[in-house]
Amino acid sequence: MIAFREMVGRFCPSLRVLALVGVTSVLTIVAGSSLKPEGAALAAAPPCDNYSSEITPPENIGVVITTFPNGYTRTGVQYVDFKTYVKNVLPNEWLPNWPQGAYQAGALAVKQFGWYFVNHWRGQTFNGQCFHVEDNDRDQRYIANSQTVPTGYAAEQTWNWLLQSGGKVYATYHQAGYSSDACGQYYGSPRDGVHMSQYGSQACALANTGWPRISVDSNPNTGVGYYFPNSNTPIPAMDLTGDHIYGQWHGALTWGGAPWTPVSVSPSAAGYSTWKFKSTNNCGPPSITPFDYGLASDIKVVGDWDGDGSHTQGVARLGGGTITWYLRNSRTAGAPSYTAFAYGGYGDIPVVGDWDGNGSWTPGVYRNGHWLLSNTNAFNPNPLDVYYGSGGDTPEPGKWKTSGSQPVTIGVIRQAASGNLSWWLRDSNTPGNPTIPVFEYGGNLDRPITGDFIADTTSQFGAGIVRDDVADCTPGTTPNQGWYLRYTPTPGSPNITPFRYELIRP
Amino acid sequence: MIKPLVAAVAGIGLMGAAAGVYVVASPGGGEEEAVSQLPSPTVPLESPLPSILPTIPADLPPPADGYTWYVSPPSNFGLQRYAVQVPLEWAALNPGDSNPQDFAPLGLQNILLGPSLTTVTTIAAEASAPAFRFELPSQGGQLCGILPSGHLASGTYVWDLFRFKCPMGEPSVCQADITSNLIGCRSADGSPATSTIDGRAAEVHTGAFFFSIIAFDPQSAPPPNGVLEQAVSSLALR
Repeated sequence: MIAFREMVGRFCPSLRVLALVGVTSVLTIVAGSSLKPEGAALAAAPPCDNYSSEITPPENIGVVITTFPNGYTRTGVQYVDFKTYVKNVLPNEWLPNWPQGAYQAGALAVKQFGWYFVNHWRGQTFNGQCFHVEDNDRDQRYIANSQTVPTGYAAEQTWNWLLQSGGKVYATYHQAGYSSDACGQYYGSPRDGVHMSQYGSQACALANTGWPRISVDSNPNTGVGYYFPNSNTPIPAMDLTGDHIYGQWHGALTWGGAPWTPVSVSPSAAGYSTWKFKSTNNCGPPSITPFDYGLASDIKVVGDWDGDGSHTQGVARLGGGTITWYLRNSRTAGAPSYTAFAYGGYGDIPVVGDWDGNGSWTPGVYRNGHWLLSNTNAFNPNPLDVYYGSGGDTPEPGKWKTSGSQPVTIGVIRQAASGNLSWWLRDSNTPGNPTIPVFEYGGNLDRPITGDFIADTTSQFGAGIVRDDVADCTPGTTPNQGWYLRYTPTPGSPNITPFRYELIRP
Repeated sequence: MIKPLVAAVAGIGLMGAAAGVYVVASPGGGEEEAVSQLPSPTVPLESPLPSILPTIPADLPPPADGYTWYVSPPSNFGLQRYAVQVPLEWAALNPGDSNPQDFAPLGLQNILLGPSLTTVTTIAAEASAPAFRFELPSQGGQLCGILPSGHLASGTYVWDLFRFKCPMGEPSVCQADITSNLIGCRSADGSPATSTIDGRAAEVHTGAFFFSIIAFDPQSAPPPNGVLEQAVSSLALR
């Protein structure tokens, strides 16, 4: 536990220097693409009862603007881009200068709450327009253009995740709580499975607890998950029955050979994950006919499970308190190639890699800074336990050395003081300091991705990001997921001409 | 919970099917004509109560002394229309077909500083009773204590009655104890919360909708007697 804390302290000075070195190129990246313009946040007025999805977040949300905090008198309705809404609620519900783990738990709670009431329009109208939520404490406090750097980062890092109860989105209530709330407490009482204490989430994050565990943790003895039912939960309540899980409604991954190229996974109308493998790093359609594998809410992974040099898909699915893995050795629909096996529990983030360098990719989980790495595609009660990172970090394993065959090793992304993505990479699966100089690549609204993006003699992975882009790649389609890839784990401009591939959002 | 006694009463179109003579605000010529034949307005046309209809629809009786009718405008969204009596000197705070609609004494903009009334129609399929909680502070009254307080038969409806207490302005939480029929509010140190707002509500489930009337009764500004009761007893779903 101490290793990484020491590492952080020791690296702070050099981090600043490295950050300065990287700033120019990072800014080049940020400025070189067109993020969704602010004016696009306001969308045309739609009806309010025409959208319901338990998988895909809505595109817009109707927000009535009121005189709050001076009453609830309504002054107008805005139809706000849904991600913009989340980003402009979070800083008004969670206080400034809190740890990322709290913001990320909050980002998920805010998103799910708004999403639920888009799914369930209650009938609110104002002067000929309908709306889903008020901008005040009757729902969630929304103030246009109030987004902050850390809360925007939190919203992006959790954007492709979702919470479900019995397969449905539920209302994730959240209140301030008492400032004295401990992790897992709600107004001084044990968590009730329905409400999150914002102060409690802060306490969790300060104790190095990540958003999955803050939100959904099924351990009846030590669990702190605010939205996991327990003996205090006042259920059965509407939309709170069934197993409480988290999952992914979307996936942005890479696969190789070399060079590595994109995989986009999106929900199908039938409720499955549709996999779209692409073989080149440029605009264009999928290279392999899209196929369905796994449920739409499954956590998506790609790896070379049998070590034959070919990367294929897999899913990790929460259920009954554990994570069950379904891995297939062919980029086609069909049954898993391995007997489904349990590995990890609620509160863990699944990761995959060739941890021992034998060519076969196997599962792991990231749990509050612990990497629990298994070298078999079967249940493994004795994984390698490496402490590296913190609960608010995003795990990003890869091959970081410049030469030779090598295992996939640990790495984390965290927000730098500049707001940009900061890469903390280590080339062995052991505790310690980063072995790759810490660098920045990507802005606070980008999502990290990695892979071996150049066909050369090394297997080293490069830094990459995906971000929301506006322009279309192919006329007549609306892909808006921009890919910005480098050959090496270093700061700089993209080595590959940025391209757009597939949707990251509705 | 007692459900509505009569789901279909002659002369009352629960889904607003009979747009008829009471659509006072409608631009439709026939309806205007019907309205124009009504007695003189209860409230002068230059009244500062722009959202409270200045005329009495033909099928509504004269309001009680000190009250006037509010008739909800036609909804573009298929919502239940209604008419309800509110104090004569109160204003509707939101224009048009606003749902919920708030009423408060002239000049009062913050209904929590009341007294005030809120009327709201909620789609029953998207909510569970009591649906009025969505109009309470703290994400639908999550920090409020809500207790049932009996039933009230009025006309064709039997209303469920509630009283509630919500924390105001300090980190505290209220909880209802059905056994003792008390609502307690505590601060972080366990002491009773000093800043709360009280209120009452009435709710009826009619067909596809909950219809709710909420009265915020701050202790600093208690409402005139019988405001909630008059609203409930006068309600006519249309």
